[in-house]
Amino acid sequence: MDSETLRHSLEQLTGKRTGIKQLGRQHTSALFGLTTQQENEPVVHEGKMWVPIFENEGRATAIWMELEGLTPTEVRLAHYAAHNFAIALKATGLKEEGEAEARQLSAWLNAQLEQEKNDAEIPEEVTLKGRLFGEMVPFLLVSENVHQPQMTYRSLMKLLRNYFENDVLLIPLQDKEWLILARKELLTGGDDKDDEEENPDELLAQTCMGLHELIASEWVGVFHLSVAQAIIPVKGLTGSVALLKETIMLGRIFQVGDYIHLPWELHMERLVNSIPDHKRRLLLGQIGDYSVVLGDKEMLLTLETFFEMDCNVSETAKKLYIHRNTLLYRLDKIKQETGADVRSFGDAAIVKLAMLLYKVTKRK
Amino acid sequence: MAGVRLEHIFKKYPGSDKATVMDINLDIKDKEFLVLVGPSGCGKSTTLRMIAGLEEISDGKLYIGDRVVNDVAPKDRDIAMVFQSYALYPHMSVYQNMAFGLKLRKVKKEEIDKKVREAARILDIEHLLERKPKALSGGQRQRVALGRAIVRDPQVFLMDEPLSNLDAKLRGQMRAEITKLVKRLETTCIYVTHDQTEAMTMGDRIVVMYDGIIQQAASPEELYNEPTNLFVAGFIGSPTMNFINGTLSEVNGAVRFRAQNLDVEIPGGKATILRNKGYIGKEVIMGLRPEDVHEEPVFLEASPNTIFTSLVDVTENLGHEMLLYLSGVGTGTVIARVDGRSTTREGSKPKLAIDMNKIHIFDKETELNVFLG
Repeated sequence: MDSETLRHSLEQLTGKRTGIKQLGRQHTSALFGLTTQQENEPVVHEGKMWVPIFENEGRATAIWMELEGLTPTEVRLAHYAAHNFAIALKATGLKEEGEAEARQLSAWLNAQLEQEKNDAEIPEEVTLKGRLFGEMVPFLLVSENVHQPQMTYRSLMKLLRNYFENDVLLIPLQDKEWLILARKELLTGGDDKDDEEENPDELLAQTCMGLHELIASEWVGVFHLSVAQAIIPVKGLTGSVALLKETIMLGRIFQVGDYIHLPWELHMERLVNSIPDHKRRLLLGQIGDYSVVLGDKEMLLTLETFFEMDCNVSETAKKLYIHRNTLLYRLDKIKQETGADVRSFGDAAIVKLAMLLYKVTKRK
Repeated sequence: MAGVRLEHIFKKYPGSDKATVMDINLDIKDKEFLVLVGPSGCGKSTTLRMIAGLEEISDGKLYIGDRVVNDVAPKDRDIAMVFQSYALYPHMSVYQNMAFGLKLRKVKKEEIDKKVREAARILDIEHLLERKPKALSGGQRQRVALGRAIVRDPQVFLMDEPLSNLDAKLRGQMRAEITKLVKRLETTCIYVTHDQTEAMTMGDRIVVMYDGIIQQAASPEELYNEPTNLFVAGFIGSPTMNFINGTLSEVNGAVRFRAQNLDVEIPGGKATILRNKGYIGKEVIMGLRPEDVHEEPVFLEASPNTIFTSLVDVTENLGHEMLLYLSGVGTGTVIARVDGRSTTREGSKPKLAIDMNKIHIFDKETELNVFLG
């Protein structure tokens, strides 16, 4: 059992509001005295019972419950449950509560991914299974952090708990690779009618941008982030994580300089990447020599923007902040150099393919 | 508040054969409003992101105040950044969006409330505090993003094309508001834009970047009047500077610039520089701002050695001024900016004169402004 399950159970059993809070050193000391482990009696403060469930370097994570209307026996029972949870947690020896369960799920996930079992259902022995039946949005964060101090489970979890109002799971997958599972209703606003009109991909992209901005400015600087459609993790988690990992791998190859990578924007890249390397090189050779154009930074940017803007000359010129005639001049130059007129669909498709092959074969 | 210093900063992405940003040296003073401007892909956003800590610095040293911050996490740099995409937290209200950073820093509730409401008042979004981002217009979202930065009371504001997603009218309005706001908050601000009008109107100092290199860092006036090279001269100003290819020669002791249908005398001071630097007889590029081509009779009378005749292909009357698109001089089109009440019409061949004291001569090979340095 993890602390969120404990909190949820206490809330259901007593019908009272509960919560989990990470306290600073001062607050910890004020509530629980110098040490957090000697308390056998409930601590009551401002009408709430507080039980420390985890302590690290003088800072406690505590569970609280509103007491109004509860009998002394009910309070003692609730305290007993929370206190025993804290004792069991201490016995795991981990540095953060919840980390043991997260690492258990991580080990299982990594084993499934290694065996390419992308549709495996989470087994009963995974402690967190009970929290994985609702719809959740998965994010994958891969850090390239160069700043000090190094990231810890605790610091990231603290940030995410604040952001997602406690209802979030953080699974450390590999070194500097983290899976974040957030409740779908929180992100979409639940049964808000407006949501039906909103494009779900757009909403996820916005959520991803918001989360990226938060983690970038409040935690680490340089990292890649991806998001996938909401899933019921108990069945769909492995497949979703595989997709996210592939998305970030593709994003690093094809979207250099970008840090948010979305699976639905990388379909063609996925296809090109799945072609064996020798066939890619062969194909690139057969398509024609585009190296003069693709090796020129300005021309490459022009082509990328032109395709991003659906081959619309006016929109591309606007996006590149150049005059329409300058763009037309560049497109004519591309035609002169390669024979391909990217204003026609057929040529545009070939050039786009050449561009992707060129990138994946590392600018041969 | 603090200044920011960049010493020999480089950025090179893995797998790339060329650096995106090369040897950037900048000393940004405390409370200065500095604008980084340049075309797409010039490295301006990458530079800003390195200052923010969102991009690893490949080489060089970055100082905020007196502290080297290369390895300092963004949250510990005491900066606040506003992005083009105004990435708001979609599940939080406007109030919560603005308060969140302070809540993380354990600022007292009363203080958070005071700061959020004050920022909301400054930005005129008090009535939106309970709304979610999806219920806001683009301009309102951008204000919230600004509010989120303001409440943090940072040492340095970093803004990356914050107005790009707004329509032209709102952009003009927000431009003035941001300038006013930054002056009022007395904070150092580094602002990235592709828009030279934005740069010229907002910055105390402008840094023009191209191809990962600083081309010129100067005040708006200096940049406009003394561009260091052909790129800066062409990038700053709208309509852009006219460039005419021609040759310099000396006739009867006077230095003349000759091009197709153009033979004009270069005034004494400038002529001496050209002579001393050995440009007589060489091919050069003359740079000429559209407003330095005149059609007023008084000017023509006073400048008999700079008169030329040209065909007017197109006229654009903007009310307060008229643009004449001229052909036949040099190989391209020359634009003249004349009075809006001008009677010149398309197809006519008026006499015009150049204010030669304002011209620039660029070396054809190095593209540097011969009159500087």
